[in-house]
Amino acid sequence: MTSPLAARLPALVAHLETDLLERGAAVRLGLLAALAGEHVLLIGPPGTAKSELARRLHRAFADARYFERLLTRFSTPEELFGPLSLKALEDDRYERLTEGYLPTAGVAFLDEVFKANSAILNALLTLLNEREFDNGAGRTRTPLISVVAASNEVPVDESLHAFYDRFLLRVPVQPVSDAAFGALLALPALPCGGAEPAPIARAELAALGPAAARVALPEDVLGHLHALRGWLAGQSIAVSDRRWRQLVALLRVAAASEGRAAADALDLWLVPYVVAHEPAQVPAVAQWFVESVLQAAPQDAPWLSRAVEAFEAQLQVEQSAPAEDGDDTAGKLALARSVGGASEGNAMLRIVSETLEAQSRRRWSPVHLAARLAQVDEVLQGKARPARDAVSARAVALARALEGRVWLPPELAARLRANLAHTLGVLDGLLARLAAVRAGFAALPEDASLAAEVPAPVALSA
Amino acid sequence: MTLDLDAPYHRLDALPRTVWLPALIASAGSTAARLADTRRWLDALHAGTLPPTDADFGDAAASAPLRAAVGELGLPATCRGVPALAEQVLRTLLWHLDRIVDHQPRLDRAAAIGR
Repeated sequence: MTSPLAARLPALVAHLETDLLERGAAVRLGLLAALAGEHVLLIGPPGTAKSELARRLHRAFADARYFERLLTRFSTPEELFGPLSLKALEDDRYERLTEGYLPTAGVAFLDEVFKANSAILNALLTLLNEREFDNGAGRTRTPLISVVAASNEVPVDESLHAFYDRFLLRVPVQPVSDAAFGALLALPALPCGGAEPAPIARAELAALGPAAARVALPEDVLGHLHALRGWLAGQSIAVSDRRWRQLVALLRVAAASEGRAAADALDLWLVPYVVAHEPAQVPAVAQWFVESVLQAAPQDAPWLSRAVEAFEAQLQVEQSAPAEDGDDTAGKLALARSVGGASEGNAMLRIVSETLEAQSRRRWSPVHLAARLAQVDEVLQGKARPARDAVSARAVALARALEGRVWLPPELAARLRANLAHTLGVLDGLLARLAAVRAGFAALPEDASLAAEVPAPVALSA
Repeated sequence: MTLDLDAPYHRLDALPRTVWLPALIASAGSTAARLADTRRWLDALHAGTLPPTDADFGDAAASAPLRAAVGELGLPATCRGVPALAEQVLRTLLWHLDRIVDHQPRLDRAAAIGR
């Protein structure tokens, strides 16, 4: 049965991405990460709606305070964690007044996060990892759901790698494409004030964990993850054991939040954002998902096309082949043309010429024709038709699997459908050409005399 | 990995374009064996030898006499180091294989191969 949260998720996602262009993946990854208790790093230039996305995200959760800071080399811990309590200092206690600061936030947006100094980063590491804050002598639990961080680039400083690794999802965000530029300019000046769907309550969030723990990981998903590990090794992309475990947990949350009892291959669309170490690697891993997991890359069947071209060329050769030696049709044709010069004889000449030209074409043995038809059938029925059926079945299965998906971005779903439609179009074109070639071979003139001249079997005498 | 839409025609990739058409449309043998064995024949002729007897294009009965004829005529030695000549010999060989069906049913298959 679909949970109330699963039923509300489509509206929540739709509300989050209202008037955000080409942010389908970022919006979904942000919300999913929050549901999974993970943190997201948005990597991209300024002015790409990163902070807006975080602001919207906090409104998806009930009782989630929002905290936002732009960090610089000169940022102080006070700016993030609150000022020191003077009253506590009087009592020889070193404590911060955290009210309204990061330790009391549910969702936080930290811009230019890697520019922070080590004092801040160390405190952030504990906060992100354990959702606890060392305040003086005590450690306090924080209500943090998720941190959305932003950076222009991946940190190159090795000292920042441990902190970088705390962001399970690392999402490249680019300015809108040329295709969406017109829509960007036409966006309303003020946000549309649609009714906000009911936010996710803490109790719902808490209930999601146990539900996710019950989600099964089928053999095919595990097999793909094994294959991915090998593929990543080949690409020199290292993924820590912890990250693999977190990825599996994320897959489970994705399935549970959509009301599914098991993860499936489509959930692996998340993989590129978890395993890619830098944005440039994301497209290659995404391509691995499309090609190896879904087998839904667009295909042009270049070599099958060559085979079809070869039979088309051979048909032309055989259609225009002259009659074999001993045929005097050419002489008759020349004679007919010489005697039919008068205009009143043109119609008769045309009839005679057509008849003679037909006779001048080579006639083929029935065994030859049967062989050609069998060859074309081998390509048509033996290869192209089953391939078309397989791609069609895959397209149907994909369409079915995509029904009711909240997390898989619509842009990706559309691309997957378009890829398979492209391959189907290629195969349909080849099938039509093969059918025409087959009809052409079937219509080649047959030499009936050959069939009639089959010699009777000769009995061998001892 | 994607759906394999091209096998066995992907073997054309390993062949010179000049032998694509005859290797594809020769009516003897099987497509997969013909495309694979065409490569073996080319390699052998280029090296100045005959290919192994199992490089028979999927039709041992039809290709054995042709193999013998190519050997008797000393064509492998002529083709050594001359790819264009090896391709010409192979095109001719495949043409003869394709020609077998044209002699039938006037001749039975064995006689057609002999022709």
